[in-house]
Amino acid sequence: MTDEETRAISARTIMLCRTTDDRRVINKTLTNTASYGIRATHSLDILSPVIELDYDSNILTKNYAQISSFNRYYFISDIKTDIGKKIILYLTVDPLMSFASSIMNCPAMITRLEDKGAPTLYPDNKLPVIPGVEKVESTIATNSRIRTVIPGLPDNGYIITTVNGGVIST
Amino acid sequence: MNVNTSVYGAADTWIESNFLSSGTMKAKCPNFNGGSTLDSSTLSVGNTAGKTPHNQLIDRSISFSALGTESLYSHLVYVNGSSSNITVDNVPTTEFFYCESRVMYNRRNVEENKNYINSNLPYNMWKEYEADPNSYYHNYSDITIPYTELNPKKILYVLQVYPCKADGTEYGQWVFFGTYDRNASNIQTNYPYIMGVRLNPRIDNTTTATPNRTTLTDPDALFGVAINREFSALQNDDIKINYAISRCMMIDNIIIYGNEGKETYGENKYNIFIARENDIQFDTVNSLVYAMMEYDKDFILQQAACFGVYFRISDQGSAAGSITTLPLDSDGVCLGLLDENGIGHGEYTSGAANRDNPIYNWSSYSESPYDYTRPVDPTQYDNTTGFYSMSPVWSCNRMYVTTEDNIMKAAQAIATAISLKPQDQTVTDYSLGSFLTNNPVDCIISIKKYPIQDIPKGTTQNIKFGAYENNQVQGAPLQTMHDKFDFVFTSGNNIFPVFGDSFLDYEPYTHAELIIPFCGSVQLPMADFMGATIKVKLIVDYITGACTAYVCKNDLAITSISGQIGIEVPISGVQGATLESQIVNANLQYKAQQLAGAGIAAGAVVSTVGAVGSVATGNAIGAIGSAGGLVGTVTKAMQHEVTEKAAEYAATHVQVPFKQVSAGSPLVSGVYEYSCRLIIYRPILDPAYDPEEYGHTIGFATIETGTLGEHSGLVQVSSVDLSGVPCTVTESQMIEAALKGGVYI
Repeated sequence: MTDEETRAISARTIMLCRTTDDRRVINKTLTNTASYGIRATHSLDILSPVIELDYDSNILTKNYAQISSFNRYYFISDIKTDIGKKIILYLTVDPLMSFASSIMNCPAMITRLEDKGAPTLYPDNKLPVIPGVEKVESTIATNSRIRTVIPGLPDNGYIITTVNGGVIST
Repeated sequence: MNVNTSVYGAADTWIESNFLSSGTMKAKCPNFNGGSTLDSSTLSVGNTAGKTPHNQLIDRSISFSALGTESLYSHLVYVNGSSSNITVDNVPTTEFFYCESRVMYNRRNVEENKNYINSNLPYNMWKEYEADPNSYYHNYSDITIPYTELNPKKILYVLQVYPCKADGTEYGQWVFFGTYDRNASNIQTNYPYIMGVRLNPRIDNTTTATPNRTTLTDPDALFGVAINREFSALQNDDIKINYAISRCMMIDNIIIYGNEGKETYGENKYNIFIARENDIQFDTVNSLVYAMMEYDKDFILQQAACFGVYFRISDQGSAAGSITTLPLDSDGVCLGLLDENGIGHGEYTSGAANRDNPIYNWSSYSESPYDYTRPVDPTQYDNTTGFYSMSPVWSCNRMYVTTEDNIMKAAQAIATAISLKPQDQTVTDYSLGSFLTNNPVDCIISIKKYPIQDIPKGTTQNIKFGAYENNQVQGAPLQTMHDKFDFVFTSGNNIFPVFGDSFLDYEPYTHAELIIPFCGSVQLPMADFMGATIKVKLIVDYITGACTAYVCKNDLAITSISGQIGIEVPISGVQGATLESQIVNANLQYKAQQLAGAGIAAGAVVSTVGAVGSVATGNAIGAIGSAGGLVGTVTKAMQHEVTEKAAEYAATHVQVPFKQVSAGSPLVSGVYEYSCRLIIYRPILDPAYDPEEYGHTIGFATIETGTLGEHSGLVQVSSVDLSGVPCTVTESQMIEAALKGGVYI
């Protein structure tokens, strides 16, 4: 490694910030950003880098980071202070934020969506349906043509069947 | 649609038309000869250019959609009036196109000279006879201009009906469908039949966002619909047609049902009807043939919807507004729904739902996917079930409709009907009839009670029980062996979704049953009956008392259930003839015993004299014998006295033979309400359920493909293709795990 490259690595910066978004949010909202220079004192794991910074109380208010040269975003998993006024940040990569634009274009088989707004035709056993309880509704046909016997009127709904015989005429 | 440019010219050459020559609405017309005016768009010019040959259909690629098998146009009825012959086309689809006629006088002339149309040329082509622009009988279709593009939003049709009575008496004018449907001025009550249904256009000739619709007023041009398929009945060259243009069904209106008024029929005259075969009526007195059907709202809307156009069904309503400015997503405005192939099957959207109809977003009918070359499912789905009347199958028995009062009188009559023959009548007449008698109670086959007030019956008369009748017991002969009752659940009472038409509205969460009187209950599949009109047709068999209920979805029988509607009524009576014969026999036995007793007494005296005589002659043995005979005679006399007493007892103690007809049947089913009842069982969600919270934290179940970027909020996947994401394998696994667990976009 040339001195220039060493200096380039030494000039790596880290952007520290805050986010109140859930870790599952792909495009997180970042606030209170502040950049710090990274001293390369040892090799860095690109997925779980450990960063040592000079003590700055503002750092203690951050929970998120970006290392541009790694093209990645990170959660601050842990912060430790060290003797000699050092702060050590333990970072864990956030692949969702890091590759947000690519992920958004990935084709997928989607099984749950918030923007449906309401239950769909697909069964959802997580919906809080009260078991064993039903609401019963009934309605009658509005056009009934069986005419019932009306009180006061003669009942003429009898059919009597007799043999078709007769007296043989003489 | 892909218009055949080799026939109709390249799209960039199509002639722009101010609609109907006077309006400002733009439309496109084909260009047959490369010209620049509408003259290049007439079928006549097309013929000259070799693009629209005579005696052939014009190229069907001009049709933006087709009428499916549900449309009456795909089942046109042809009536040879003079012979009452009816033939019917049955085709899966019928193409049509819009066209314009530029000169009114031709049509009028043709109408005035309908009888002139006696050419022997086939009438299923667009040209009936030679064109002669200078002829007084100029062929109307010469100046017909088909449209290649038309903006569906620019035409709002008003649905109208032509009411009449059951006997064909006409109301006399077209009525708005909405007016008729809500029975304004009791028009529907007084005229419950329909002789014609049409779509009457209102044209928006403006270019502004707010419509300004007017009726067709241009006297020199007319707008219409032409049917573009073969008419099977017109293959016969000898057939004459009573239409000026055989396929341009109605200028300035689209006829949905019926015909252009009543048609006369005569020698070799064929009439084309847009109606169902069984709706054709023949009036032989007035030499008329016409179509007429009982008002059926759903059927009319289905026929209108097949055209894939906007039509209005209400002339009132909170969002009605004026037809002039009415927005196309207003209540009461419907839009025909075409299937994915651009074929209309009678479905439609209405009101706000029109915005979900693909046609709503068309700026031109050319955006239709219809391709007439695409194979069509030839299966003809009529989606209805026929229920027909059966001719009376008269049993060999007499069946009377009678009242409860007469049944009671019958019971009394047959309980005392023992005097069929006069007692102790001196018999001098030995004819066969005087020996015949019967038990009235034996002549009763059944008595059934039906919960039906007006069973069809004839004239009241005495009820005959075989050879017996009593003028106090009356009934009227039954006139039909079966009856049919319809129960209809109106649209407000049908099964409709309450959970947004989600899985909760279907089995096993929601289920429905229909309780049908006298039959029981039947489960209704939710998917089949959701939103459909539920009809129950109860068929009653008056012979057996059985009934069968057919549960129909929009006139298609889906399921059925049988039951018993006739309740057996037991009746008992005296077996009169039997009793009479028993009495006569008993008397005869008694009399016979009496006669026998007298003979025995006379015989004993003779024996005694003989014995005395024998003793006098000293014949002791004879005397002994005589004495034995005397003893036998006395025994006999004593035995006879017992027998005679027995016969007397029998004669005076004849038991009355009773008989009961029918053991009766349970009447519990007759206690239930006499109408169908729909019962729906629905699930209940926890009152604390909040759809917003649920959607945000858990998400609503679905199955669909797509990219995450197409959505917002919570998204959860079951599988994903991460190609194109420049990450490490570990990160790829992390991403996949996160997506399967749900992420927020």
